[in-house]
Amino acid sequence: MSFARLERVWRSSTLRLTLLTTALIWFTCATLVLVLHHLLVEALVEYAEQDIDALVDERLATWNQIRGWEPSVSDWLYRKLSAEIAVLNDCVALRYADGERALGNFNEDDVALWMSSGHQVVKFGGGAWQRERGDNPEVCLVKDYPLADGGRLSYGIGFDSELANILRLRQLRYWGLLIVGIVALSIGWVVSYRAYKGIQRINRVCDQVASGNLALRIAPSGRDDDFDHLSLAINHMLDQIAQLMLGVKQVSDAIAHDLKTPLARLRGRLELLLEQPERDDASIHAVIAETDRILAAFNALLRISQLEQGSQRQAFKAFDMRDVVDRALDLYALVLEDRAVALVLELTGEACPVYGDPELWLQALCNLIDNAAKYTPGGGRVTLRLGCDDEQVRFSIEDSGPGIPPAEQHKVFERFYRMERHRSLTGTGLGLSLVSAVCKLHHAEIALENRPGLWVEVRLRRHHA
Amino acid sequence: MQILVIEDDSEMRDYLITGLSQAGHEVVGCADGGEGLALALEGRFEVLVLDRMLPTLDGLAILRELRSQGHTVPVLMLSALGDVDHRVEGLRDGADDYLAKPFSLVELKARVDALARRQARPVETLVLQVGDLSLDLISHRARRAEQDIELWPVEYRLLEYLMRNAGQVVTRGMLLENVWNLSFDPQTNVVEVHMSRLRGKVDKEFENKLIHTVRGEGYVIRAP
Repeated sequence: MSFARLERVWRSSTLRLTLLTTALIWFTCATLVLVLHHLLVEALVEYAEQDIDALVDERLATWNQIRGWEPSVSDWLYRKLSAEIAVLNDCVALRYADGERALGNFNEDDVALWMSSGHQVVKFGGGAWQRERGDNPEVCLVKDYPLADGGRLSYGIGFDSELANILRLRQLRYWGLLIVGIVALSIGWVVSYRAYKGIQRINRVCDQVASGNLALRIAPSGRDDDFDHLSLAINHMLDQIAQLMLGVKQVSDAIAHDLKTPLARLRGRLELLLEQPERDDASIHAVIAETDRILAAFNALLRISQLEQGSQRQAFKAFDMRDVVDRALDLYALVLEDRAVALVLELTGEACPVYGDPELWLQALCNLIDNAAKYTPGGGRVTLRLGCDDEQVRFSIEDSGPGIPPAEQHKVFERFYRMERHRSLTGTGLGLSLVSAVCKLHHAEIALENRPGLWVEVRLRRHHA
Repeated sequence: MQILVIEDDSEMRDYLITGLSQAGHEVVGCADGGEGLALALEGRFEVLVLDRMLPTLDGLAILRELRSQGHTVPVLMLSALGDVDHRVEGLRDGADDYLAKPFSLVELKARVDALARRQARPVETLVLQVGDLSLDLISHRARRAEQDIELWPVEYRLLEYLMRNAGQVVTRGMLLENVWNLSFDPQTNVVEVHMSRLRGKVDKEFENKLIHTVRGEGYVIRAP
């Protein structure tokens, strides 16, 4: 395993989560084990201590009764104990006030076990024959008692089974800590493995999406947990991206298709021009006009994408929609007349205040009128309505043309959309896309219907100063 | 006419210089903003063609500096960013006209001519006269050969713009901007329709036509 890989493993939040969980569980359980161990040992020692206290009290009680005629408690004890010591099954040691050891049946240096409480467990050191009897203890728990004359009595009773228990407990403690550690590690691993799996699941899909498989989605685990929520969010994001990509693809396909044709035509014309022995101004003008049309399409595309970015709001101001309608009529009234299309106006006399970019609305309205005029046969009629109430300003354009088949209505706002049978008509196929972009920029609604000619209505919020 | 062209793209600059020279102008080209400003401040140029994006000092900054020093030389701003907002910004900062790339030489020449004329215009007259056609700027009345011509408001504005630029070609774009105050091209035959209507009123009954179509360029009104 390389260093970089180790580094990555260490940085992985899964590992950290595992370690953290493990450490927390282990510390909690280890504390419990240690406290339990301590309490048990304490209890064992305390029982033995009580017994020792009772024995010592019993001996000293005799002394207390006969006190007065004996020289000192140490001397008295010495006499008593030296008589008993050969058969005594308890540990005993006596020191005079000057520290000299008077007698004893254990070696004070031969400590078997130091207790954390300060007690010591010593090896019973009685005579050989005593030990042969077999019922005497191997070790004793010893307690010191200061005597009234400055001497010291150390007394202890058999502590064999207790010591065995203590040692067993000690072993149990180590095992306990180890087992708790293993359990904690397992729990930590299980907890973080789920997280790891969840992240892996998402990660794998993201990797594959990044490498080009954009159709892939994260399958939810069904547990409705945070990972599922994250998966749903990512899936939603991917859907959006796919949608956008599709849009971009449609646009670029459309650009490729719709601009390739005029470019091919242009190329053909240029080749023909090259063949001609003499300069042909009319043909050159035709070529320039063709180029201008292509440029116009590019300009329109750029304009739409600028609008869709929504960065065009700095020119927004309050204005009256009637002025925009008047300007559009200024442009188009004669054009419609020229095409023998009757223009019917149903305009409100009231002010229609809105907030936005009047130039953009003028362009949108021009595109709508232009569109209506284009698809209305001679002798037909275009109706322009403008009205408003407290909430909304709405204007609509209705023509007496053939309308748009319902199945195709959702496509009219796409860039370069033109119905097949109208392919021959001039136009970029971008007019309604621009209208749609202007509406989006202004949060305006747009609706269209066949009535039976195409009817398009735009509704936008009335501006209240 | 002496024209200063400040444009950093060498191909574009050559195109501008060649085109304007062919039209009989004396053209000085310059690629750098700071240098261009120094030249412009000399005050010997009648029209400035200024690119918006320039190294060292951009077009808008040059324009502001010129105007703040009191120079009124007409400026035609060029830009690749042909949208409304940039146009508005350029005009607000003192440009006299604004042209988005790509454009035709015809368009450029026509606009440069219009700018020069505007600068050289004598005291405001009250009546415009082209041949036997007269247009009263106060009463908005047009007369030709002692006959009144009925004009719609938009037709009046169209005729006024043509007559103010009599003898010079005006392009479709100039008409859309100045007659209809449009900042976009409606991609329809608006100008053609109005022009043919106007011709019907001004020229139809007369032997001598005043309004002429310049193929591929635009329109011109001139005395026969």
